[in-house]
Amino acid sequence: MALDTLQDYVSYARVLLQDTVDSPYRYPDADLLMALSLALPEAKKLRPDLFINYTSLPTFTVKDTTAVVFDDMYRIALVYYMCGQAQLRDDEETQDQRAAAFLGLFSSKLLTVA
Amino acid sequence: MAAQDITRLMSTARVRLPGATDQALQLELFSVMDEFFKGSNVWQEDITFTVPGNDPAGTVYDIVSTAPSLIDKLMWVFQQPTDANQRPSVPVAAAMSTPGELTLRTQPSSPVSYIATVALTVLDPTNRDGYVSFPAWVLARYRAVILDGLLGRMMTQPNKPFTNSQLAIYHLRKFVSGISAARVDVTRNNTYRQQAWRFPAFSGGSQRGRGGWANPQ
Repeated sequence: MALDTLQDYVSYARVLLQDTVDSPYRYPDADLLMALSLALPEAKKLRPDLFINYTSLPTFTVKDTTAVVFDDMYRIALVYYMCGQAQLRDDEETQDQRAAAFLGLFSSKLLTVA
Repeated sequence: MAAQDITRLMSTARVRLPGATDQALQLELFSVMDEFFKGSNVWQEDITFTVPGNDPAGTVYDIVSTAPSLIDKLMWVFQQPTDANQRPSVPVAAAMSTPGELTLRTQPSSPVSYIATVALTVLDPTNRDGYVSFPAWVLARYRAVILDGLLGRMMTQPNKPFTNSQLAIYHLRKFVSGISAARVDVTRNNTYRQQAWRFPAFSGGSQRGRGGWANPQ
């Protein structure tokens, strides 16, 4: 799978955020990991059936090879949430639109077939 | 349970429920099987137990199923015949207010063996793959009914990619009618065109004055 570990999630979020060059990164790893940590309770609110085997929700602080246990079909939704949260930080109008688009994609990916 | 049977069921459900996870399907399958078994009584077991003579009235006798299951209903109790070639013919009045705890209306004065027929339903834990345990023949025999129940219950879940209230009603109606048909099948012992109706017990249980061949009541 393309999205298995924390590294995979952060790397792909950077691709969508156009933040792949470390000089330094526009969005720090810690911010993206915080967004991923926030994505899980948001996803649980929308789709509790995806969290049947969870006893508690994890919080991510270090970008490493820790596996993010989530159903294959819905992993991309978490990346969209990470991107949306990152883009919310910016105050430019285009970024706001992208943030809204990403957060909308997060919901629609979880709630619809499309 | 036969792996191929459950794989077919799950594959069919996945195709009809886009976006559904296996864990959610397994969770609902447990509820579907519980409802199916409680409504149809298709899963039955004969449990033999011995009562010593002169136990006080109201003595509780624990009966345990050999399969991992919950005893749902006490169907009937018969005295075990002394001759192995005879089938049970002496009914015994008994009750089971708590599943698995049987009491007799009249205590015998000498040791007697009884056969209690009980209807079973599913029980936790599931097997290591997460599937509920029940006899393989049930899925083979009632595959369409179980699939209808699974699809119907999944489609009633709110705000999911597979939510569909119209199809849920359709499948759940078929599931309920399937349970009713299964209950009739059990009453007739899966015998084609056998009468579900029988002479009442006070007349001997049948037109010939003895219990019917099927259910000994």
